[in-house]
Amino acid sequence: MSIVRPILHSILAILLVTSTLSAQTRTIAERLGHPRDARLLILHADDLGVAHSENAASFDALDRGAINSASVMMPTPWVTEVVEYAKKNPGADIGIHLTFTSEWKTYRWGGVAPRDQVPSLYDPDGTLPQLTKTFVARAKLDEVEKELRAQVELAYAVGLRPTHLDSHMTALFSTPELFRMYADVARSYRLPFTFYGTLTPQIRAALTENDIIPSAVIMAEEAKSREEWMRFYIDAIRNLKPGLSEILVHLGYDDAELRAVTAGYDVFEAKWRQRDYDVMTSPEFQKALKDNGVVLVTWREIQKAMYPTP
Amino acid sequence: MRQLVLSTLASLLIVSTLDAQTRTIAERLGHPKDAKLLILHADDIGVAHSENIATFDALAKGPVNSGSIMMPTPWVTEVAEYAKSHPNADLGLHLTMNAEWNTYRWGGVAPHDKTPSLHDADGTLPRSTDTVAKRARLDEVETELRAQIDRAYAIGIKPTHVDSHMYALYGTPGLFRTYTRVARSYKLPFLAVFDSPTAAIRAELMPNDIVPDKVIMRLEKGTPAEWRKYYLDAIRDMKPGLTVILVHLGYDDAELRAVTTGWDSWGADWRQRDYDFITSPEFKQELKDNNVVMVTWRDIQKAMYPTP
Repeated sequence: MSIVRPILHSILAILLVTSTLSAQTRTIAERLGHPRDARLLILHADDLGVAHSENAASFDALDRGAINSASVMMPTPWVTEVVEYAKKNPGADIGIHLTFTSEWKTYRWGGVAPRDQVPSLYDPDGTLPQLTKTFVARAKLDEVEKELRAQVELAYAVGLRPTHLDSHMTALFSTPELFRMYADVARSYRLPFTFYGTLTPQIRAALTENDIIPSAVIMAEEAKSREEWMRFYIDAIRNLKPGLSEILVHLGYDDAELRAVTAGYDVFEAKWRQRDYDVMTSPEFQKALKDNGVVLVTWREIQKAMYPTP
Repeated sequence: MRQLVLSTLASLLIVSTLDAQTRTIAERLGHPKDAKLLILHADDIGVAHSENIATFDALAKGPVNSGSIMMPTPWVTEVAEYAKSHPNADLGLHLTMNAEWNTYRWGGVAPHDKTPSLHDADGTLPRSTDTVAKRARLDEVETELRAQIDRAYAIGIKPTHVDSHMYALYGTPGLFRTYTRVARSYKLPFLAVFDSPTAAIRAELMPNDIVPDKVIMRLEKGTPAEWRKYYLDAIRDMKPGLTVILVHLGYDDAELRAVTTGWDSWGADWRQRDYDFITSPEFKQELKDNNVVMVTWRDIQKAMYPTP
């Protein structure tokens, strides 16, 4: 007995070292149970909740398996419709698209926390600002954290079980301070989180060995013709590198509602979202995934790899 | 001299009070004593893009001549743009204590930590007016009403009147007192509907208030033919005095169907039906044939508050 105990301790110690080393040296693919050089992909729809049109197109793409992950904006008008969908589809990989901006012109929203507790987040008309740079210039870090936690708490309160966090219009990737706070809050909920942009030394310093973030994030950023749209995504699939990539799409139908939501915009507008939907649900795109041996993974799998014991 | 002025002023005041009490609403609005006055009013502006564009179209075509806006709804900014480009449009505020739809919801305008008794646990307003009557604290109701009105002015809407979404504020003497007090403090006329007229509620009215003699709103589902008959009968049966017809205009499209999903009444088809008949030439002709005089809440506001 007196000999067994030190042995047990040293075995435990070795196991701990091994598992830490393992997070450091194993590739993301290996941590997710795939060959070392597998090309992993998350096909992710942003902006759920913003409009019924956006919801209906995203649900359809999820149901068909054309995409395999999505995130919902808690302050948007149609969030309850997403909650209903998530309850009916508990296996759906749905995270929270943390929201600090309200970008449209005639269709706006505020945040979730009581407004008088987070005044630095608001425009005078009681809505969130249109631009990320307004948010960055004006928002106080403690108020951002309060709002961020309020959005996550509301998600759990209404019955969502988010699998990950990300940031609408990259607001939370804008400064190392914002990113560090976002990463800390995400870890406190044991939620994986995405990042895209330049991985500066300061951003890198905010990451821990256990964090899994995509090594490449692909998103259409300028208007293109229908044919170029398809080519953009198919080229993206052909050029995938080993490791974890994420393609961010914005799905919607080019209908009266979404046209009115996006009025005055010539990017990310109704037609753009219809095109994204058309490509994602097309046989050509599905074939490209298969032909290139792409392994689709979800944020739920990443969450399990990062936090094996829930 | 001073005494004379004061006593003249005093008699003027008495005359004007007596005047408000004894002259009919029609007379106060500058029409013959027995005129049949009508406000044709679209509720629920702001709730959906579909509702907004159908209502804007009906206001342009007539005979719809008035409407009211729900300040806490997602599409209110679109309405503010319309109001700014149509400064003469007779737009009031459809004061909102409820969020009735199943998968499309909203909270109030005041910071939610100031108005906990108005909100459900998910941060939205309750679905039922009974919940408002049972749960809402009157001081929080007043906070929210003032926040809705102040936000309207802040985004460029100059309301001509207020009314109450789902009649929530007509339900108890306390709610009605809060509502009328707030309305008078902004010099805004207000709608009152006495479904079950209790003396306690009516007692809140003051001599200067102008409230409609009759409020007509379709409450039952029906065929387009029944719809037509309902509104034609309403016009044919109009009595002298002030009548308000409340309609709910929208297009039967994907958005409005999703907004109203799970509802039997006031759905997208209902609103399309209202739109179709109310904007029809036949309805317009019926108003003419019955010598109906169209008036607005702005007219009433001027009669109640001659000096702004």
